[in-house]
Amino acid sequence: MAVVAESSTTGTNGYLVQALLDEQNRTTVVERFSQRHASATEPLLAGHYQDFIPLSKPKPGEQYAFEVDLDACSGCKACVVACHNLNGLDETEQWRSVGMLHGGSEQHPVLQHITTACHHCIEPACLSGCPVLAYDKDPDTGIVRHLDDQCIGCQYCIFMCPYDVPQYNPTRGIVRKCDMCHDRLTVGEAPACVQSCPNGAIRIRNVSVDSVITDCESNQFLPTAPEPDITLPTTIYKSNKPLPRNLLPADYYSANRQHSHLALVFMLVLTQLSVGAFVVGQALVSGPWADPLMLTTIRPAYAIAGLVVGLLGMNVAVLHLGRPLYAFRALLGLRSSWLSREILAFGVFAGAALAYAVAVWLAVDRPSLVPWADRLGLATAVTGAVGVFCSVMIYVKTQRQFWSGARTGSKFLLTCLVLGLPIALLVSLVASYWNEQLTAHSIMQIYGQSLCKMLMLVVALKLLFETAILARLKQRRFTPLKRTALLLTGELSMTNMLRYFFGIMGGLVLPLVLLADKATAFGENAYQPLFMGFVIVLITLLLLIGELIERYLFFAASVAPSMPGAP
Amino acid sequence: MITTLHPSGSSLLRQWHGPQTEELLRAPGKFGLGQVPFTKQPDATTTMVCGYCSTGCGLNIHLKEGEAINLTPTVDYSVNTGMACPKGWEALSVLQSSDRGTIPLLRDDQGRRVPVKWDIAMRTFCDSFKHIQERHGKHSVAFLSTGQIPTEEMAYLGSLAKFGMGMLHGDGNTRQCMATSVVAYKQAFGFDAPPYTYQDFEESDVIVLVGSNLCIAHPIMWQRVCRNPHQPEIIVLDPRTTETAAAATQHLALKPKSDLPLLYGLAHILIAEGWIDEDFIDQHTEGFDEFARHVESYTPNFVEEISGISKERLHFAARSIHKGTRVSFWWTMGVNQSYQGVRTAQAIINLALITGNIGRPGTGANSITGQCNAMGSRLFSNTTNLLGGHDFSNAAHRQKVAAILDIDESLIPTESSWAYDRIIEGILRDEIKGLWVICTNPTHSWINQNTCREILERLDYLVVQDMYHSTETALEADLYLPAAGWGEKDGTFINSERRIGVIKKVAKAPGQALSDFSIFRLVAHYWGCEEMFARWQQPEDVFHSMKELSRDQPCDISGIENYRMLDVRGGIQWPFPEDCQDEENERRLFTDGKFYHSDGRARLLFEDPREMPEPPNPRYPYLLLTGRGSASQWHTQTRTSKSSVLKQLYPLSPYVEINPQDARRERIQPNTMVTVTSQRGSLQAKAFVTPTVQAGQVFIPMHYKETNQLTHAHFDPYSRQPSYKNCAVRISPAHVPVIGP
Repeated sequence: MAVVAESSTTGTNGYLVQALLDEQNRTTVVERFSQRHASATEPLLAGHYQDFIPLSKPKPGEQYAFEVDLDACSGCKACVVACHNLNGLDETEQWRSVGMLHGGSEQHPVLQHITTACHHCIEPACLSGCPVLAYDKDPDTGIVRHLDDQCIGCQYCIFMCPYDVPQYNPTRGIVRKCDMCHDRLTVGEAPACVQSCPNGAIRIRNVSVDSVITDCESNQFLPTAPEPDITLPTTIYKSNKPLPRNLLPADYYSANRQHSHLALVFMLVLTQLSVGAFVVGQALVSGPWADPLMLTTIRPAYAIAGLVVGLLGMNVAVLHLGRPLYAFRALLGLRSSWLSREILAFGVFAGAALAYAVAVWLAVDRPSLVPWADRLGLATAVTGAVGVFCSVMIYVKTQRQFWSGARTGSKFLLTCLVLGLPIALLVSLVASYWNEQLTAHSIMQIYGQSLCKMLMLVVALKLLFETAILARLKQRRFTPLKRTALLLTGELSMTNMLRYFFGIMGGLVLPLVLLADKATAFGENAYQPLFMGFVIVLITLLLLIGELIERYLFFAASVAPSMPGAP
Repeated sequence: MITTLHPSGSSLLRQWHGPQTEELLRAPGKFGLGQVPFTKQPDATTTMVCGYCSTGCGLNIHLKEGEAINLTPTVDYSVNTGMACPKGWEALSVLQSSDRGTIPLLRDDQGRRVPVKWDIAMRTFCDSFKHIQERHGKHSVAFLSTGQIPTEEMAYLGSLAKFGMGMLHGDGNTRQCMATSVVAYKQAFGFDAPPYTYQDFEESDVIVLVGSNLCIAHPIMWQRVCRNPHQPEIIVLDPRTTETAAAATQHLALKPKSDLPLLYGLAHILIAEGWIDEDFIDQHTEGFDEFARHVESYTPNFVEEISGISKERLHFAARSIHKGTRVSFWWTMGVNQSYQGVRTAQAIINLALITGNIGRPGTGANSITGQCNAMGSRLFSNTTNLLGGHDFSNAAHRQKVAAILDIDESLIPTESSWAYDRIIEGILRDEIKGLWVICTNPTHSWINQNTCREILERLDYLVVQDMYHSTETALEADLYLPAAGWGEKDGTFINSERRIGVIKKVAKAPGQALSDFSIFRLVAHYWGCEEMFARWQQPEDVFHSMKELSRDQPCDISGIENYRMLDVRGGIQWPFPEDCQDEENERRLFTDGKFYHSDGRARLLFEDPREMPEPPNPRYPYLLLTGRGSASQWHTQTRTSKSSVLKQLYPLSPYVEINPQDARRERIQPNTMVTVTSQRGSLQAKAFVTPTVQAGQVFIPMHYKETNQLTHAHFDPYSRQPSYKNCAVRISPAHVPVIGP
């Protein structure tokens, strides 16, 4: 301590520190060093890449495509970062990625890196799925462009693309993706990845659309990549070395939990609840078992309940959008997008449900309106069913195995019933409060018990269906379904367990309580409205939570297909 | 109707343009750049050398109002001709990080790190070290430096510590990467002189790579191999099927550390077949007869037994070397980080010498260095060598240096510093009580890390000077000094091919961070020895001293005028003496067959292989190899982990490569957690089951902080370089379920 104090330099301490700090913040590089390229106009790198891009624009029947020389790709991943920096992407955004295949034998192990970006497909699934026409396939170049300002951030393209290409940018609320640096190509410059590959492994070529189709039909795309016949990807992977048959992607054994899309979870479950309520309600009041009392008493309550839940579900869906303000564009894609169709169908459903509700309430005093109400009821149920069908198709179209027609269809349909049945009971019970002729007991007598039994059957069936996926655990190959099963029993096992708990409690145990209650009781007051109401509310709630979890798993455990990944 | 809208049209229904689209527009970048992001258009550009590896790529910094906004690899820079690896592309972004030190941090009585002013930090620094020196002697304070700071800072540090502060011991983390090559060259050539230029990659017809995964560790050098128009035979010696091995025409997947006998086996065949250059041997080498006798016993049969490489393949490789007219031999860490690295490197040098493959285009026995300025540290760090590649024990050298620096000759120690491992041992033995760590992270990187951590705890005072306050070592420090990083200061680096390139200040340092140069100036001032360094106000002042120091040395750079000349010429390789007329941008050494020993002859040096100190055994039946994981990771990742782009390019948590046979035997499922245990420690890593690693071996990248808990501290006896790539471990399922990334 004393040493410093005695030093002759003490007085200058503060001065020196400040001088050095000031100097640290001065940048004089421009003045001090030469400005060699100050007047350069042409890209200095042009000589390097001019052979890597076509001399001419694609002719009719041709389009631009990436060509990757696998023998030259050594896995440095410069292309990924160059793409990021030369295109000014946001911090975590990447439009190109590099995966790896490995395998071969002990004597000849094989290691092959795979660089991949958008394949600018001939039949882009992103484009056909987009509800707002935010994708455009350029008729001259074949480049699949994403119109960032058109995008509403529904992310359906991400589900649709088998190669996991479009990337959602949460801060912007939109999807963005590789545009093959189309404006660079326009002026004769190479795309960023082509420019930056030290080994010249990436090029742009003009390819004939017909040859791409032929190659895709014979599956000559890339071993282990998703089947090319869905979207007809144009990227050409070439190699002079034969790739062994036992190659596996480096991420073959990993199962990545997917985004859970909570808004979609609620939207799907609530709309299905609404449709289920209408369908069950319609069946109750129009079947041979129906009586006028039910018509007049229960139907109005029904119509309102169904309408409210349905509207709720549809509005929740908007929360899922990155840019909900532009949701009005969502019908533009009707010609190809099931998402647009779903929105239309549920729109009509909401309209019909509203009209039905009005008609039913008016019909209470004006019997002449009853046939109208009947017809509107039927129309509501039918449009609702169409809406659910569109919902199913949205997922079926992605061609993910976990979202196949049978799996998705059975789940969505059964959800309608699993939730529609207890709602029917609940609404009836609530309606009986205002009607002296109806009691909890009579409701149970007339149809309540049957509903309970049906509910138990439906829930049991649904749980069985859902459990069937676990059989895939026995598969030796790591198929997408096995990965789903692994997720359900691994990372998502707690959630999955909860799903069963809620399903079994709400759909099997409590209905049994309701049925058993009668067995132990005598007389008119066997079914106590309060107790019954409590149990039915509980059933509905537990089942609702169970279905929400099921739908959460529907997204989280759905393994997205993708190009070979990295370890 | 909507789809037919012309792309130039835009409506609320179908919006082709707008603010989101504009975000990604590209604009002509001028300055020969081609299109650049619209939001990042430069108003000037300047080239500087990359601050990661020793390739020394030129990076063209895009400037706006004097500050960096983006970069692209420099096109007219001979090293990389417009290419860079991911680290280079992301070199600027790692400067922006919340982990950057912005103010000195002093540990208080409660062990908390408290921000303090530079004045207090410097006083404490000097008080603490002077106090230790008073109690335990001048030599009880030492420093550990780096290969990552400019040569000028290294020279300042080495001079300040030894001549100004009276320290004797200081070493660099370069000990961990190239000490072996230094010793091998010094002994064989008479000076530490990698003879090649990168053009040799393009001119060889046979390229032999030993323990070098060029594709991943030096991607831009691999680029030069790819540009070789002669369809070269590429022979790779590596136990693993690396990217480079996979791209080779001959991959000799030898048993670990059987490289030395295998290289002797190649020499055996070359000599036995008469495939040698007798004229060259006669005129330019010393010790051939002894060497020939030595390799006599390394028969193909014997080598096959030791290395697992069949005699046919060995013979084929030897024949390829014989048939090549321009054969170049290259090695990296597989050789350097070995308990017999010096002799292995010299076995490679011997192959080049006996076949006359040196001094001509496309030839050479070429060490590929690790860090961006390891080569600068070799010549100017004033640790093992006296400034300018001189010898501390040589009175004439001391006299020369004292005269140039205008200091009292008695201030120059008459002996070299201890090597890194001896300094660490010195702490253990209470000989070193104070340590100043500059820009390195021993708590992560030093071999047998757990012990290292415990040893550092024994210090009376630990000062860490680094860009980031969060490195494993900085967290242990009594005093942390915030340093400006690459891009925030001036100086020069020397790359693998001896090219001196400039780095420039193109960004402001955060908060009160100062360049290491300025910190050294402050230390000199507070220590009371700034008079001695009065001439060194700017890094370029040190550069001028370096020129004088190098005069008449093999590394003579006295002909380089200043930084501007380096900048204009795209870097200059040493030697470049005052009268140098050679305008060639790519030059190689020994074109006249004259080596630096006084008789001008190169030495053929050899020795019998040693036993592996810790071979696999029944308790620890597998051999652990470590090395580079990906081109996006750099060493202990203090920098690369700060880039969110790079972070997506490699697994964030440790993984271990296991051969399928071993996985089956140990009942390890792919992608499940595995416990890897050595005598020293244990870690958990995810199993990556692949035949690219041989049965009986496992591989874990060095970048994970856990890796060096396993490694066994043993060293090359000549270079004192740690042998990271061989220790015995056992593996077992960790019974921790993991599914997911």
